[in-house]
Amino acid sequence: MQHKIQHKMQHKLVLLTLFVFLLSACGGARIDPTVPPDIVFGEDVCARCGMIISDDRFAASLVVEKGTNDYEQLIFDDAGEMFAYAREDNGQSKIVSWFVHDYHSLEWMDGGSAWYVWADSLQTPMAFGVAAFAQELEATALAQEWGGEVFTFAQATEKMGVMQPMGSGMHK
Amino acid sequence: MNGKAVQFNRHIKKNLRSSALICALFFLLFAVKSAAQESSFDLKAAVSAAQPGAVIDVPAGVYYGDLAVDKPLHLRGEVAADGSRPVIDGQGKGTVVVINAPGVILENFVIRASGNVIDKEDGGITVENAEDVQLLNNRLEDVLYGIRAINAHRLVIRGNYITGKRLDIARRGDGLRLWQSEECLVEGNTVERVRDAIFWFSDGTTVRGNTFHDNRYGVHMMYTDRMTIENNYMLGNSVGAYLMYSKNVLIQGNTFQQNRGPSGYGVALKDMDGVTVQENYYLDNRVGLFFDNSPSSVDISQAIERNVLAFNDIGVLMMPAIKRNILRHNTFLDNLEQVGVKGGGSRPGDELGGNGWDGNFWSDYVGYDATGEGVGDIPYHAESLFENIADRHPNLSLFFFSPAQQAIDFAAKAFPVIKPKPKLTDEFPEMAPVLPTAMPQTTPFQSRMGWLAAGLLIGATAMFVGQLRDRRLVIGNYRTVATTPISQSPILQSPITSTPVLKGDPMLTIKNLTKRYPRPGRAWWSDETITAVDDLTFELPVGTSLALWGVNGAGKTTVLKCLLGLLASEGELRLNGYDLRRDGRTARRFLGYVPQELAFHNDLSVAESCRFYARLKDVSDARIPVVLALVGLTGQEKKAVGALSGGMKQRLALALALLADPPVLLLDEPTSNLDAATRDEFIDLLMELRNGGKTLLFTSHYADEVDRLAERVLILRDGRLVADGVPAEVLGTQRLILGSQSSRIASVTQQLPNSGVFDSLPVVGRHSSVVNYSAEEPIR
Repeated sequence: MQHKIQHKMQHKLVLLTLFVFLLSACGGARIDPTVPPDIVFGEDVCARCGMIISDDRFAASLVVEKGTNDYEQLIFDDAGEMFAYAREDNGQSKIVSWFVHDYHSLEWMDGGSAWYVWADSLQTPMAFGVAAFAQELEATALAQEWGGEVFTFAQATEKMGVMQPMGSGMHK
Repeated sequence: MNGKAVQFNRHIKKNLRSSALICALFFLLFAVKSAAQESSFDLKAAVSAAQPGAVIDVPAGVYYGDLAVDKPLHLRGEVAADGSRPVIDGQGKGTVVVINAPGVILENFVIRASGNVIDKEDGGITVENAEDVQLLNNRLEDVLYGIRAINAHRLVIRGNYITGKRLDIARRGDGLRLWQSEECLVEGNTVERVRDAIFWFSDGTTVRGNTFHDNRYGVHMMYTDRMTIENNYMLGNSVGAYLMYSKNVLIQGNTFQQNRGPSGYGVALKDMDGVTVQENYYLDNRVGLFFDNSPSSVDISQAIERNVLAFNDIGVLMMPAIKRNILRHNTFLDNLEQVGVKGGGSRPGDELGGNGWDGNFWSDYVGYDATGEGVGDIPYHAESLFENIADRHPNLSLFFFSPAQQAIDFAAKAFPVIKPKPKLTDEFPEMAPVLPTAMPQTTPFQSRMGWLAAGLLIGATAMFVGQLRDRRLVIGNYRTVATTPISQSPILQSPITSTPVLKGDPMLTIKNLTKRYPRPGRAWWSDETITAVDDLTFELPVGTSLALWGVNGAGKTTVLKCLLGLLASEGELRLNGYDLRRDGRTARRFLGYVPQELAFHNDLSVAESCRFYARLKDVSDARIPVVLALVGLTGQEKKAVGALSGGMKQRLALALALLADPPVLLLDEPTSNLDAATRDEFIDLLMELRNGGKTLLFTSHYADEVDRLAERVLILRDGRLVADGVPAEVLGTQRLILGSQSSRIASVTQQLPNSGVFDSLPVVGRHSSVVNYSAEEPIR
C-alpha cells in the first residue's frame, strides 16, 4: 500500500516537473526592438519602482539587448524612471530603444528625438517632474507655463547622469 | 354616429384628459423641484462682498462653480431638515472650488461634476498656496480629482466623502493629492473609486481613521517623512498603502483587507527607513506586507510588531537580501505561504536571515510547549521545497495545497538531499496569537464588498477566541491545510437543537489516539519525533464528565486540540456518531470550548463581547441574557471586560462557549488562573451544567476539582494512559492533597524534589492545591 502511494506521488512529481519545464519553455513572443510596448494601464507595473502604471502622459519604455536577436522590454510609469533605470544600469545592458509618450497626443514616440520639459511644479507619478513632447514649440510653451526648462534627449540623459544614452527605437 | 363611435370618442377624450392631467402634474412637480433646487442666494456675490474673517451661512440649494475663495472666510452650508445641503455644481467644467487664501473653512457642502481634463487636473476642491485651511464634512462626487493641495501647510481634511467619476481605474484622478503641504491632518474621510490618496513632500502629515476602498492605492506616499498612518481601513484597493522614499513613518492600527489588484499588497515599503509597523491587520490580501529595499540605510533597523497577517496568499514577502527588519509578536495565521522571497533569490535559505523572526505566532507550527511558558520548545522552520519553487515561479502558487505540492514536499522529506534549508527559523515561536489592542477596522458598506468584508472580518477576529490556532494538518509525511472556511469552524456554528443520542450512549469515542511532534534539536533533515499522546483509547457517555489529569506535558491539552481539529493525529475520533476527521465540520458543532488562556478585548463590554461572538456563531442575541444568567453574569452587561475579575472572565468564557448550546464542553484547565474561592464557585457552576445534561471533558491539575466534578478520571503520563477509573478510587491513596491554605503549601513544595513519580510536578498559583504521588505507591 505504502509502495503504491509512493509510486503515485512519484508519478505526480514527474508530471509537475514536466509542467514546470513546459511553463519555462513557453516564453513570450519575440520582441521587435523598434516597436513600442503595449502597456495595459492600470495593471502593468513599472520595471524600476513596481508601481502600477496608470497615467499614460508620462509612461516610457526601454528595450535592452540580452543576446543575439533577444530583447527585453522594460516599461516605466515616469520618463524620469526610465532615465534613472539607465543610470543605475551603469552601462551594463545594451539599450537599443528608448520610447516615451508625447504629453499631448499620448502616442508613443522615439525617446531620442523627443523634447523634455523639467519643472518643479509638474507632478509626475514618481515626482521626477519631467514630460516628453514631440514638438519643440509645445515643449517650450508648457515650460513657460510651468516655470520649467526644455531639454533635448542628449541634455536629458546628461542631466540624469545616464552613462550610455545609446539607441533609439522608432527610427531604426 | 353610431353607438360604438360615440363610445370610442368618449374613450379618446377621457384618455386625452388623463394625459393632460398627468402632463400638468409632471410640469408642476418639475417646477416645484426646480424652485427647491435653485436658490435666490448668490454665493459668488456673497463671497465677493464678504470681509475677511466673515462667516457665510449658505442655504441649501444649487450653486454653480467655479467658485474662487481668495480671502479668509468660513463658508458654512446649512443642512436642511431633510438632510439636504447646499450643492456647488461644476457642470462638468474645470475645478469646482479653488481656495487660495489662508484660514478658509469650507463646511457641509456637496461639490460635484468637475471637468474631465486630466492635464488640467480638474477636480472638486483645489487649495493652493494657502495655509491652515479646513475642509469639513463635504461630499465630493462625480469629480476627476477630489481634493488637491499645493503648498497648503496644516490643511485639515476631515469627515469628507469623496467618490470619483465612473471611469476605468487607468483614467481616474486622485481622491486626495497633497503636494508640498506639510503637517496636514486627513481624518475620518471616506475615499472611494479614485486612483490614489497621494502625499508628496508633505512631511509630518497624519492620516487617521479614514476608509479607502476600490481605489488603485489606498494611501500612496513618497518623499514624506514623519508621516503617521493610523486606524484606517483599506479595503479592495490594488494596494492598501504604498510607501516610498521616506523615513520615520508610523503605521499602526490599520486594517488592510482584500487588496488584491495588480501588485495586491496590503502594505508595500519601498526604500523606506525608520518605519514602525505595529498592531495592523492584513486580511485576505494577495500579499500582506511587502518589503523592497526597506530599510535602505545600513544603520537602520525597523520594528514590525503585533500585526495580524491572516488568510493572505503570502503573509510577508521580501525582495532577496532584505535585512534589518525585526518581526516580533506578530501572528501569521493561515496564509497560503507565511513568508516568501520575491523571485526566490539566488541563495534559498539565506535570503531572509538578515531579519529577526524570533517570537512570532505561526499557525503551521507543529511544536509544543511542555513547560507552559507560552513559547514553543522547538523552533519553527519555514522549510517547504514547493514554496521555494513557487517563489521563483509565482504561477505555480495555483498548486498550493494540491497533490502536486504534497508530492514535492513529500519528496523533499523522503530524500534529505533535496530537502531545502529552512527559509527562516523562529527559535522562540509563540504558542498563542498575539493580538493588537484594537479590533480590526470596519465600515458598513452597502455594496458586495461590505458583505465580503464582514465575512472576512469574522474569520479574522475568530482568532480572539484562541481556538483556531493551528488549522494545518500533519498527516503522516504529508502536510495539508484544512480548507474549512473559518465561518464554518466549530466555534462559528448555529445552535445545536437536537442530540440524536440518549444518556449513556457514547458521545465521544477515542480509539488509539496518537500524536507525534518533531523531536527537539533534531537535524533539519531528520524526521525524528517524540510522542505526545500514545495510543489513547476511551469513551465518554452522554451527560457524564471525565477529567484528564497529569502534569504539564502529559498530553492533556494535546488530546483536546486533536478533538478540536487544531492538531492532526492518528487513530479514530468520533463525536456523536460523526468521524471527527471526515465530518469534522459537522461533528465539532457539538463542541463548546473554554481555553486555558482567555483572549478578550478588554475595551468591549460584556454585552458587546457576547453580541460579537453571537454573530460569529450565528446565534440570536436573544440567547445572550440566557447564557449570562446561566453563568451568573446578569447585571454585568455594561461592564468592560477588562474590569472583570479573573473569575468573572472565566464565567464569560463559559458563557461564550454556551452561546450555541453545544451538548459537549471541552475545558482546558478552566480554573488554573482562579483563586480557591472563585474556583469552588466555578466548579459548582460546571456541576450544574453537568447535572443539566451537558457532557464534560476537562483537564486539570487539581485533585479536589477532579474529585468533585469528574465521574471518571484518566491519568496521563508522558502521553500514555496510566490509570483510569472513578476519581476516589484512582486517586485514592496515591495522592497527597493539600488544602488551599498558603500555610500548607510550603511543606508540600519542600517534599517535591524527592516525591517520586512526578518529579516535575508544578506548583500552580500561590493558593493552589498541590497534588503529588508517593514514590512508595506507584500508580499502577
